[in-house]
Amino acid sequence: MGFAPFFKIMKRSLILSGILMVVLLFFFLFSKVKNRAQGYVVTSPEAAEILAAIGVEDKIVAVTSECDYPPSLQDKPTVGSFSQISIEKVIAWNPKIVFATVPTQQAMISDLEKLGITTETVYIRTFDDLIKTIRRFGVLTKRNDVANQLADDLQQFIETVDIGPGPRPWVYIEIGDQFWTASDRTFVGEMVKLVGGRVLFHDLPNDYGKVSQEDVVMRNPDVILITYPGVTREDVMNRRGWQDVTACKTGRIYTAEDIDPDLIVRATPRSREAVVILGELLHRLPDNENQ
Amino acid sequence: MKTSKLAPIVFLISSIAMIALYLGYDVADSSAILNFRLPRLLLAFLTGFVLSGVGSTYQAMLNNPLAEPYTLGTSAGAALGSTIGVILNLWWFVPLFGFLGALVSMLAVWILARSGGFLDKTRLLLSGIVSGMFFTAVISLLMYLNQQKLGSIINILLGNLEPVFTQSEWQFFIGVAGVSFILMFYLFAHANHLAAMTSGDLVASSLGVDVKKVRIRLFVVSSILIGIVVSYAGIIGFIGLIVPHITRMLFGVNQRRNMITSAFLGAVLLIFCDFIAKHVGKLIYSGVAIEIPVGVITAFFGAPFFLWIMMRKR
Repeated sequence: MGFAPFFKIMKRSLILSGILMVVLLFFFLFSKVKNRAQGYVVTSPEAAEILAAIGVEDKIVAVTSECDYPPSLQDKPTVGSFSQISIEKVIAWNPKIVFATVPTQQAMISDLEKLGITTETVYIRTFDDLIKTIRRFGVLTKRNDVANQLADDLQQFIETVDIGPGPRPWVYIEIGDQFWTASDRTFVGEMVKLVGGRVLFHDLPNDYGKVSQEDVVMRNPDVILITYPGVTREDVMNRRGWQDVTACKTGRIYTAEDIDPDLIVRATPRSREAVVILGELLHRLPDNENQ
Repeated sequence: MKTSKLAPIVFLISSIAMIALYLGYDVADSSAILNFRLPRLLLAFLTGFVLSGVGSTYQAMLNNPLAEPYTLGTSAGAALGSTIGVILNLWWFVPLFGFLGALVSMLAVWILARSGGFLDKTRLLLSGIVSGMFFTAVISLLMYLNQQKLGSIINILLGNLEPVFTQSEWQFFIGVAGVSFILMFYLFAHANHLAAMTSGDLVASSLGVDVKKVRIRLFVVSSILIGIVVSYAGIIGFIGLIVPHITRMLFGVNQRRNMITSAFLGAVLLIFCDFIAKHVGKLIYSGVAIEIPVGVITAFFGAPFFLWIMMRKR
């Protein structure tokens, strides 16, 4: 009657678990060595475009399904979609750097930082931010020369853009279903201001927000800019009570048919094209003033 | 004696004042009143009218002071139906989807709450709450999977009295509202049956009321009404719960009077809540008016009231 049998079992299990731990340790060491991939996981479509533009597309190992420009990115493996990322898949790539958009992907970023993974976040509100981001990415990816050249070109281009002739139109930017709009502290607001427009809801308390349609009509925009697919010019004109809005009377309503939504909501090197198109749209004469 | 005679007059005057304030406060011009305030007023009136009237009906029919479309899960069922309609882009049929959702949730609650041939009071509320939670969870899942419809689905979940109409949708809505008011009068016409049912199924049957038949009819009619209202205005809680209690305190327990006064008081109270929802943002931030979902405001008033009823009953 003693503790002998108990110790016997304990001894055996101790030896067993010791062996198991050594095996696991070897397994982890081995897999770490094997898995030392040094690529980038890019969950931000904007960052993906900037990285591709500075010539490091081949270092991107995985993206989200929204990262569709340049089109060759669509062939890369995905780790989910922009707002629904599988953090397990991100970690499985053992990335050198994860490029993400905040604040949408902040939760994932916080988790990755806890695990010691290097992260880079973008939230670009102005062309100044964009140029700085390009230079920063150049340093990170050791492509300073290409990145600085791109940034300088963009800087020069921005300096040539003027607000155009004529009165500055008030622009109502509709970024989503049910009157979600952007203030002038967003990149799309910055572009509108750059080409001579004025942002109708410049005084929103947050960068983006929901307004009431009564307020939209009351503020009477000269131009309506729809930056999401699925809404046509006729849909806007048929909204009840909108017929007296200047933009509806003059037909200055621009939708996904006039300008690619991705081009206008993303801050990328392609934004030069967006500025050109937007400038042309905002200064296009109203249909009924062509007498 | 004197207060009960004075109460309707006070109520009438204050509701007219409320409606005038709702239409005229901080408005740009008469076209804004006609195009935005008036439709919103009509929807708020209809929603409050139906939710409170149906709340009063449920409370009598189920003999349960905490029954209303929100606590019984009918609103959530209708909201799930409307959400599916919105996702499928079938804008014209959203009220129909709402009705089907309300009917399904009503049936589920009824089947869950039945025990030994009678409706069990506690089981009724519990199954209502459970099915309401389940339907809301399904809506959240659909919202997660359909991010491009986010704005519309949030409006259904939190309540929104300013839908986007085209001219033809607006005419359709006026028609639907007319039908709803007629159906409400159908409910009012059953007040005597309901009054008998508040004394229990056995008593009602002995008074010659075909309890089962009346209940089925009223369930279907109220499901149609809730389906219509929720598909346009979203889930708005507590109005249907607290208003019948307030009117019972003010005007006594006569069922017919309770239903009619509940409907009208509910309409005015929802207009008041929507007025607050529309304008309270200006107190916090002096730029663009940021509107608060009306369901949030009704819950702010309704939840403490719910607690108060619970404490008082003990």
